Amino acid sequence: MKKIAIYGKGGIGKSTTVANVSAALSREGIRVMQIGCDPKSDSTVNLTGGQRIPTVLDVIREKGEKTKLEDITFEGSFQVICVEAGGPMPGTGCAGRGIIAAFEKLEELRAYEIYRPDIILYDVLGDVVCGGFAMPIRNGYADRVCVVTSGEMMSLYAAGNIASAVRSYGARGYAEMGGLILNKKGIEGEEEIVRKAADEMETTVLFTVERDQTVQKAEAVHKTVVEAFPESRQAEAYRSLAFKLLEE
Amino acid sequence: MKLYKNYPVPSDRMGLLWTLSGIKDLVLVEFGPEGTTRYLLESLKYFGEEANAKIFTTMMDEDVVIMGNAERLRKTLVEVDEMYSPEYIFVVESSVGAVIGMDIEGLCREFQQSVKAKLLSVKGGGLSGIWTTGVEEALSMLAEIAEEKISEKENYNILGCCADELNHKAEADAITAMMEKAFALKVNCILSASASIEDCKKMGKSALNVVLRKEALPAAQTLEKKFGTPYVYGRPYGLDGTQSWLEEMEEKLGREGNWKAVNVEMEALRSLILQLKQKIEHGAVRKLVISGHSETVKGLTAFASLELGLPVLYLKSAWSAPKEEAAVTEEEYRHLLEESGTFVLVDGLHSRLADEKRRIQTAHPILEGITVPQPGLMGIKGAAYIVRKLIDL
Repeated sequence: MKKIAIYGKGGIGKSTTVANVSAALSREGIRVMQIGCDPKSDSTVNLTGGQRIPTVLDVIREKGEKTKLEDITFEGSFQVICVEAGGPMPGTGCAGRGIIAAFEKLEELRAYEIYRPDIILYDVLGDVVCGGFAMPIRNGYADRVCVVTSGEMMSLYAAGNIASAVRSYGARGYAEMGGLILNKKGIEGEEEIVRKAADEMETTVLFTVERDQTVQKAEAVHKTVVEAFPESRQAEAYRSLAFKLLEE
Repeated sequence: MKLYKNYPVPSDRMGLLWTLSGIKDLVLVEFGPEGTTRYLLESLKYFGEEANAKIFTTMMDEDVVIMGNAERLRKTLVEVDEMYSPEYIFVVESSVGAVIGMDIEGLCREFQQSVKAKLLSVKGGGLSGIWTTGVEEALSMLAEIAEEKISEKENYNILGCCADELNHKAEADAITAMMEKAFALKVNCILSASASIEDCKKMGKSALNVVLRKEALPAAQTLEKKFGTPYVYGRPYGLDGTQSWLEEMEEKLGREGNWKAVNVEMEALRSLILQLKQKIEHGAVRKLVISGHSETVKGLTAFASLELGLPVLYLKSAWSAPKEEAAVTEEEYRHLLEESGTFVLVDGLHSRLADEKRRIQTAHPILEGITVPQPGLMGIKGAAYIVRKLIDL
């Protein structure tokens, strides 16, 4: 079972990238579980036709100890197993603790043993702001951490923070840095900027996703590019990235 | 960072709750996990105390921690308000609330319209210093509820007599007896060992505030500002210490004390001290080891070294101020106990190592089979008790 955590600055295209990777792999018969780790709980929305699924935390609130695995896992496009951890309203509670509680519930219900996915993709909120958001890196949840970034300064700054969080856990034998995924925004010299940044972070640029309007067109119909435009160049790019992640 | 053998120093939260728990009719709701409130009640038992205040917990689950859902706090406040109709409800944040940034002040403002009692938010997450910080905050809050427009000046308050100190009620008894004998004054409010919310409200009608610890100074200053009440800060340890303490009272009250009545006891103490000095000269009593709360240590050290002429060694305990450096280590303490002529005035944990004849306990915890009933150590009677124990060594 491969376990990969995808981090990156808010709005950089993490969920789009992860959902397309999930769809690409699942379409080829690989069993994929995608776990959204963001209180916004919109990671899997393009795998479920725009329908938001109940989050783990919402279900726990409602059903408590009676929560069953089927209450918190949902089948999306190409049979991707979709999970949203969920979280509090902005400005209240503790979202980090929410991630921890959701992960504990998945373990308690033996989600990984029962579904036995070939790959688990954790789609994690922008930055490693506290211990809770480092959960996917810790305790054997993810083997590798990839960071989606553009060539913009703030995006690279967030990537640097994440890389340093991964390094700080290195001595404990947790996840390793798997590289940067460049999601191009179309700024001048972007590939070179990100390559240099990767060097500074002592990692590599794993893959480059070109900017393409098909992404917005697919999202407009609440689908992944892989599902909405399977023959497109962008869908092909996501397939390549997906298999690169699987093989790395 | 050093490793210490002693118990960890209590947090601000504990000082806050120990202090507030002494007030009769005070209603306190802790917005936190059940276990933390349980621990407060258990810790009071180790002090030989029970809470005078009515203490409640909302209990806390993941819904509160993760989602920030404070509905259970609102429900608890409404229930407590209906059941007891208190004038105030002290709403205390817990460590968990502090960690997740629970807006306890804002919640109290929001829920105020749901209850008749006035909600007083108390920050006490255990992350803002040691227990004395909490003691200070609690005493200050209690001073704030004292009401204006009370013109009579017929008695006095004792500020800073709290459950974190061993035998605090006996110490208050010693002071009230002396104040009555010397000035014919009666005590109004003993913060927080013996007071109700009603007593706290009437604190302004006192002629004087007797401040026993520095944590009570902000409360005394509040009362001085609100009512013009003077205060005396200090503790009456020993013969000279008690005399100068009473003289300061005279000055602040603007009248002479009844020295005739006090002098009878002082003379008896003076004669006991002479007896002890002979024993010291013969080497029967050689040195003292002292540990406990900083103001106890300071007062007893002054008495022992300046009035009795005995060398004093300081031992650190869980009740010591964090920056204080110990004069003797734990190992040296054990060696000292093997020497003849060593007498110890120490906290409960260190008391265990000394036989009863050569020890007086100065600080918690109360330990079964170790802690024995003893009078307060302040005032003339307290000094006489110490001197007699030293004579009997």
